[in-house]
Formats: sequence, structure tokens, C-alpha cells
Amino acid sequence: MKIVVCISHVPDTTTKVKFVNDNKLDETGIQWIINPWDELSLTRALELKDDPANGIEKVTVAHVGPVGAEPTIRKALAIGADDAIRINATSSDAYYVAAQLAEVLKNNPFDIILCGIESSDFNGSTVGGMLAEFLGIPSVSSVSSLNLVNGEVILTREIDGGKETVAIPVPFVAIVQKGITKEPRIPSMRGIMMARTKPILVSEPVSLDALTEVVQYEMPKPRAACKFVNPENPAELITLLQNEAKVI
Amino acid sequence: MAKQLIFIFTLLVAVGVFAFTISRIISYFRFTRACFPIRNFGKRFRVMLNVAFGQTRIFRRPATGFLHALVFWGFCVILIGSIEMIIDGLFGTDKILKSLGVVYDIIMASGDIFALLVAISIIIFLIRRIFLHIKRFEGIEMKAISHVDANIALTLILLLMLSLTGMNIAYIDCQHRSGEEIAGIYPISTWLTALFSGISEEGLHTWFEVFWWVHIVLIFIFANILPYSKHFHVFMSVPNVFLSRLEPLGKLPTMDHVTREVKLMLDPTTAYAAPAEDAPVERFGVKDVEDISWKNYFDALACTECGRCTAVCPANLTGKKLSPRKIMMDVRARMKEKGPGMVRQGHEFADQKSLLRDYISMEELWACTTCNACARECPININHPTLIVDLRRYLVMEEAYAPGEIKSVFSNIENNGAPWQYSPEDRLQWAKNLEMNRI
Amino acid sequence: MSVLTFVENWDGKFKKLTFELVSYASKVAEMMNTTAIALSIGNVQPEELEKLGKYGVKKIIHIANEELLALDNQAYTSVITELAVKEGATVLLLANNNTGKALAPRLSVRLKAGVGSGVSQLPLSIDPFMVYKKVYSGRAFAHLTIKSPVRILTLAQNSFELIETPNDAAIETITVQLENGLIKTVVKDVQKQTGKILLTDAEIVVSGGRGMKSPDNWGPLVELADLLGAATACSRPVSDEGWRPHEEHTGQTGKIIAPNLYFAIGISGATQHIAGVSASKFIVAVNTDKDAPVFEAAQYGIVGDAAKILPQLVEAVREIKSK
Repeated sequence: MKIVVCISHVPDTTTKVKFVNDNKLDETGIQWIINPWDELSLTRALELKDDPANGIEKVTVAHVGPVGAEPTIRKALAIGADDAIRINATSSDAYYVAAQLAEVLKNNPFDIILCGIESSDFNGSTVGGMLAEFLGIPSVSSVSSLNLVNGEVILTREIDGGKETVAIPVPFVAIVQKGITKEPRIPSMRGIMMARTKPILVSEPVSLDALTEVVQYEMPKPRAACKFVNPENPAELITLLQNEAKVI
Repeated sequence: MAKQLIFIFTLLVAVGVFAFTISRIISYFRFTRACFPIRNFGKRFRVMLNVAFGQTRIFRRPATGFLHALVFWGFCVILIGSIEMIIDGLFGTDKILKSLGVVYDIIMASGDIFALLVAISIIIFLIRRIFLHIKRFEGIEMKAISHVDANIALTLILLLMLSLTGMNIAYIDCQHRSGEEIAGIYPISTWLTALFSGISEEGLHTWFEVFWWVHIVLIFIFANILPYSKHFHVFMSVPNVFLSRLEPLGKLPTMDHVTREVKLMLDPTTAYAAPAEDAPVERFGVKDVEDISWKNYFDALACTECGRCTAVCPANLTGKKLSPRKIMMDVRARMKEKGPGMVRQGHEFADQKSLLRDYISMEELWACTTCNACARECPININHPTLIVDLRRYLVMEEAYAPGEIKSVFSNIENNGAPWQYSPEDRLQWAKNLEMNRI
Repeated sequence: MSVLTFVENWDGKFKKLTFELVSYASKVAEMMNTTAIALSIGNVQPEELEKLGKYGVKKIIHIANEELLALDNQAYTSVITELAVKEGATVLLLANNNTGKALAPRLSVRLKAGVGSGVSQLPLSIDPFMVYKKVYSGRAFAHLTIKSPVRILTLAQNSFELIETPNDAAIETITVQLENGLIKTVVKDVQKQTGKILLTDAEIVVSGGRGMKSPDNWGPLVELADLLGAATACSRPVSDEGWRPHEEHTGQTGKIIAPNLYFAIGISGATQHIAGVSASKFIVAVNTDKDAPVFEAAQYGIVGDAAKILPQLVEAVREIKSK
């Protein structure tokens, strides 16, 4: 079986985001990382591959982005992916990204496609589902566990108020969230050395229009400073919450 | 004549068995890796005089340390007498070294006094081991065989001292009764001659021969047991100290192949090039005994299982599984297990087991704080932390395996330039209200 | 033209978030001069369906196919698409929960409709269709234009007020024809979280972090939650240590919640945790460290030891509840 993990290249979680002219991200000094949810997906894919009983032949990572994203792709290779596909385009919106991925994956079939449930830059939660629809294959969302049991794919899907154990045939897209694995894998030295030479297949995008566009960014309004209550009199807090905030 | 022939035969057997055992151990060394070069002989001699002959580390536990020093120094002195006995046995001479005159007197006298001191020390040690509950001698790595091993060795030493003294007493008494000159001075034995007063002169000769043979045969037996025992340190300790790692404790060895790799990655022209065809693919760190250095194995053989290292380990003292002593004992045991296979089949030999995980667990390794208390305490300069770090290097650099908290530290250093998850922009928050000039 | 809202049901019942969704839909319909229609898939009784009418929908389409009781992304997408086309929906609305996240993207491709996910307020404008959404995990906001003729929005929970616009909604029950083999998801087992208030639904949440020192100290925290009718939550280190169940972990990689009131007790306020709760209307922090980052996100704070302060808070709440 072959697994492809779609990865997104995002600013590190602690970055203090700033914008240029209010409509473009200011990229100076930003440390780029693999989207945390995608990192978890990649880790799970590699864990499955580690167990020979699962019969995973290879794990590929796929990314839509310019050449500047290659260090992030190399990191994914260092963590253990076997090869990578980069579609040479600047991702404009989720629909565009999913369409590009679908074009390449149509001719390059995989059994299991993993996507993180959201990316920490756009928080759209859409690429995975869109990709499945473009490819015309089933998808399962909010997946918190993925196992191969006797050749069958068994997933745990989170629902409001609980979880369901679900079986799904290949090929399919799993949209993955926290719980899929305990913690992300880090690259080993061996992995870093080998990543230098693993292949990144670059393909040109198809011409397509995005369906949405960000016209402006806004910084959040600074919140009012915290009102401190005397620790000797915590009851005052309750009074404030009842009368001032009116939430109790 | 007959005595000579029997002696030569006995000596040949002893030496033969010993040579066989040692050659096997040497063959295991072939599978270990190189490490620091042996240079700086002047410093090494000084370290040897200080730590080995001066017993400085042993004295950190003053009372038992002093007793051990007596045993060690006694051994050194009595060794000379034993060499004399071997020459006497081979060539049929009688106290060949007596021609050294006063020097001989001093050697014999010291040997005689030490025989008593060592005997007393050994008895105290046996009492401690058998009747007292010494924490340092306990631990998950200390199975019954370790205690039996210790007690046998102590008993043998006691018998050696008793036979030596007995031999001396018989000698003095014989010489007295036959009016011959006594070669050497034996203060203690002279004082004890009253013990044999009731025995005939012939009886005395017999006793002398008995004690002589018992003593020499016990030495042969003891020498041949040592390579299998914790007491191998009798042979290995002084060389181990001479071959000590001279770097400051806490300084970790750098890894050349990593330095090479980093240089390649920093150079844009080589960053994505395929590695050279002839580039050696060495394993990072230590997974099994073929990855350890010859000095790690030497340390493991020299280890006396004294437990002083574990007794000062802060992880062990606070209930963690880590015991530096166990690490060294595990190395020795694993080489004993895997060595024969490797000798037969070479490096390809695999028995589905490994030093890592089957002997030494992850929990033990990650509990180490690399404080180096163990290395500082070891009376023979065994360096445990470098081996522990090498085991960790394998885990992280080959398997990318580390406890979650440590993985976070790696990621944070990579992404935020600090071990914590704060924005690099906040680096100077601590200086917010201080008057500082930014250069 | 219409605004079509997909409403999910839980054992045949709707939740507050359903009515938030429907209120939002009717307001958008008003903005666009069109009607709001609700689409329900599942086994929902007419009395329950009628409740939707209270919040402004003019028509409720109810699909009761047996095979559709469990979510299958492809099947639901087909059904919703068919109805969206039939009703001429120009805006599709779903909740930004597990189901919404599963369906919105597929519908987007099927209908060639752009998606604005996690919106928390009405569109900024209709022509061009522009919505306001959080980006960079809450560190910024974006004005997003949806250029396609059909648009899909997913609404963040607890971000829109209930607006009652009662009217007589017509209920249309349909059985759809599904192609053979369309449903690929096979549900083998369901585990429901019983009893406690669902964290994502709770209006008040009391959360504990490492500053609570030990799992044995959770008593007063649970007591406070019980008195307030609140759900309990925790920070990541606490769930990693196993002090509290994983379901309670709130934060960037845990549950993202938006209650009216969030108590952060003994929580330092690391970015990842705050990202999970920043949409709360009010955050109250209790921490011994006056410089803890949590106080920057909180509206009210007490610098002190949780062990001493919690019991006093419990007493104060008990007093006001008894009045």
C-alpha cells in the first residue's frame, strides 16, 4: 500500500504575525515549519510503515508551494518520508490547492491519503475534503486513530459527544486530528543525512481560478487589561462575574 | 627434582588455561571501536601513581577505603614473594631473592605484616558482606552469583594469607630447630611460632611444603578464576587507570562524522549532492557491544561491582532505575554472550538481542543527568557517562527516539532558538525595564 | 435563490448550536432578500423540526432514509448537493463542527462554491460576498471574499446569538434515492460520552493546569464546575500526565472552545492553550505568577494559590446560588 501525506508550510506557532499593507503576510524573520496536524499525519504514516505486517510500501509527501518551501519538504523527508511531490505554485486558496493536488494524484494513485484537519495559518479545514471530492473517493473526517487490521482500514472518527469506529475501503482520504499519534516524530541524524538525496518531483500547476481571496488582514483589537482581584477576597471575583460580566 | 617437575607441570597448566582465557577476551576486543589515542605518558604515570597506587579515590570512604588500601598494598608487596616462589619452584632454588640483603628483609617483613593486616581486613569485609546489610552491595543488578563471587574471592585471599603466614611460621621454626640462618625478617610469624611448638621437625617440613604448595596452587587457581570474576580488577585496575580518559569529566567526545555532515550541509554546493560513494556509513552511538570502544570494554572488565558509582548517583538515590554499576556489568555480560558468536561469524552475527533494550532500558538511560558523580567516584577511573551518552546518541540519531519532553526541546531549539516555546521576538523581554544600550 | 442550512441532530434532538445556525441563516437571508431553508438528515420528530421555525426558516426539508443515519461524507454530500441545486441555494450554511468540517469541503467542490470557514459574525457585505474570519490560529483576522456564485459558510459555535423570528415553517419529508454502493463508511461501533456536559457545548468551563500540582487537588475545581453547571477542562500537560481524561484537553491541538466564561486555574497561558480558548467571552485566571502570560489573555485575574482560592470561590458561588 502507498500512503501520501499532504503537507502545508506554515509559520511557527510562536510567530507574532504581522502584515505588509494589511494584505500580505510579513515574512521577515519567520521560522517555517510543517503544519502541526500534517506532522502528526506524517508520523502516523511512518508508524504504520514501521510495522512490516501493514505492508506499507512507501510514504510520499505532497505540497503545493514555491521553491522556498523546499526546506520544509526536506524536513518531512528527514523525518522519514520516502519521496516528495511539489507542485510549483503559490497556494492561493484551499480549492486551488486541492485541485492541484488532485491533478497530480489522479495519475499517481495512492491507497491512503492523509491530510491534517486544519492548517495553523488559514484554519480552513477544507483541503482534505475537497481533495477527496476532486478524486471522487470517500473521505472520513476528524480521524483520531488509523489502524490496519487484517488488511482492513479501521478508523476512529470523533463525533460531537463521542467517537465511532469506522471501516473504510481504499483508496480514501483521512482528515486527521489530534489523537492520531502520541507526539510528532523528529528527524534522526540518519534521516537528515538521507533527506539530502531523496527525490522531490516538481510538477507545474494546471491553470485554475481560486474561489476565494483574502482582501485584507486585521490585527485583533488589544484586549482590555486584566482586572485583578485581591487574593484575600476571591468572593469579589464572583460578584464581578455576576454583576459586571453577567456570565453567572 | 620431582618437586620441580610437578611444579613445572602445574605452572604450565595454570599458564595455559590463563592464556586461553585471556586470548578469548582479547579476541572480543577486536570487535570494539577505537577511541581516544594513548598519549601523554607523563600525565598517565602521575594519574596511575595517584589513583591506582595512592588509592586516592578509595580513600573517599575512609574506613573501608583504608582497609582496601592495606589489601592492595599488601598484594603489591606479597607479589614479590610470590614471584620468588615461582622462580624457586621452576629452578629448584631456595628463597632465590635473599641475596638482596636488607632489601629482602624489608620485603619479607612487609609481606609478613601485611599478611596479618590483609587477613584482618578480609575478615572484616566478610563480616560486612555476610552479616551486615550494606546498601551498596544490593541492587537489581546484584544477583546471588555476585555475592557468591565476592565471598569466594575474599575467602581465597584469606586462605592465601593464612597459607603464607603458615609457610613463614613453619620456615622460621624449621630454621630455628636445624640451626640454619633465617633469610629475611618475619616479625609477625616469629611472634606466632609458639603455635607450632608441639610439632616435630619432620612435621614442620611437611607443614612447610603443604603451606607452600597450597599457597602457590591457590595463586594459580585464583589467577584463573579472576577473568570470570569481579576480581578481574586485580589484573585490570592498574592498566585501566593508566589508560584513563584524560579529558575533563563532563566534556563529551565530538563525533567526526556529524561534523563532516554539518559542513556538507552548510555549503550550498554540496547540500543536496549525493554522498560520496566511499563515505563510511558508521552507526551513530552505541546499540550493541560491537559499537562500544575498547576502553568501554576495558572498563567493563575492570569493574569490581563495588557500587560506589551507584551509591552517589543522584538518579539512583531518588529512586530511578539508573545504576551506573549495572551499565558496566551489562556491557561485560553482553560481550560474554555475544562475543563467541562474533568470533565465529564475524560482524554479521546477530542473535536478535541487543545491549540496548534487552539489557539496558530506555528508562535507565534517560534518567542520567550526566552529573559525572559516578565517574568521579570510581576508584579505577571508569567513565560511565560517555557510554550512557553514546547509547542515547544511538537512540536519538538513529531512531529519533527520545521522551516527548526532550523532543519538544529539540523542536523548540530548531524553531525558536531556545528550549522553550516562546517567540524569538520575545528574547529580550527580560530586559524590558532595564536601561541597556543596544549595540 | 435561498440560504440553505444543514442541521445535524443528536439522537433526534437539536442543540443550541443548531438554533444559532438557523438564526444566522435567517439573518443572511434577510440581508440577501431571500428565504432561509433548513435541511435535516436523520430521524427527527416533527415537534423538534418545528422548533427551527421559531428562528426564521420558512421551509424545513427532512430526509429520513435509514441508510443515512450515520454520517457518510460522500452520501451526505450527494444528498445536500441535490437539494441545494433544487432549492437554488446561493449560500449553504453548516456548523464548524466535526460534521460541518467533513461536508463543507466536499460540497465546495461539488457546487464549485468557495468556503468561508469558522465565521463568527454576519458577512461584511453581500456584493462582493465578504466574510470575516479568524486566521493564524486567532492571531489575526481576514476579510475573505468568496467569488463564486454559490458560497459555503461554516459558523463557529457560540459566536452568534439566538434571534427569534417565529413563523410557520412548512415541513417537507423526503426519501432520497441513493445510488448503489454510494455509502462506503461502515460504522462498527459508537462510544458516547455519557452524563457530563459536553465541553464544546458548555457555556461555562472550569479548567485546571499544572499549577494544580496534583490530580488529587481537583476536588474543589470539580465542585466549582458542578455548582456553576460547567464542564471541566484541562491543559495539555495535565492530559498528557493522565491526571484528567484526554477529552478535557483544550488547546490548539485539543478542543477549541468558545464558552461564555472560562476559568484558567493554575494554567500559565502558553500560546497553544490560549489559541484553544481565546474565543471565550470572558477568561478568568488564577495563578501564583503575576507575570504569567495567561493574565494577558484574561479579563479578570487573581494572583494566588489555587489551593486556597478555589475553596473560597466555591463558597462564594454556593452563596449566590442559594439566594
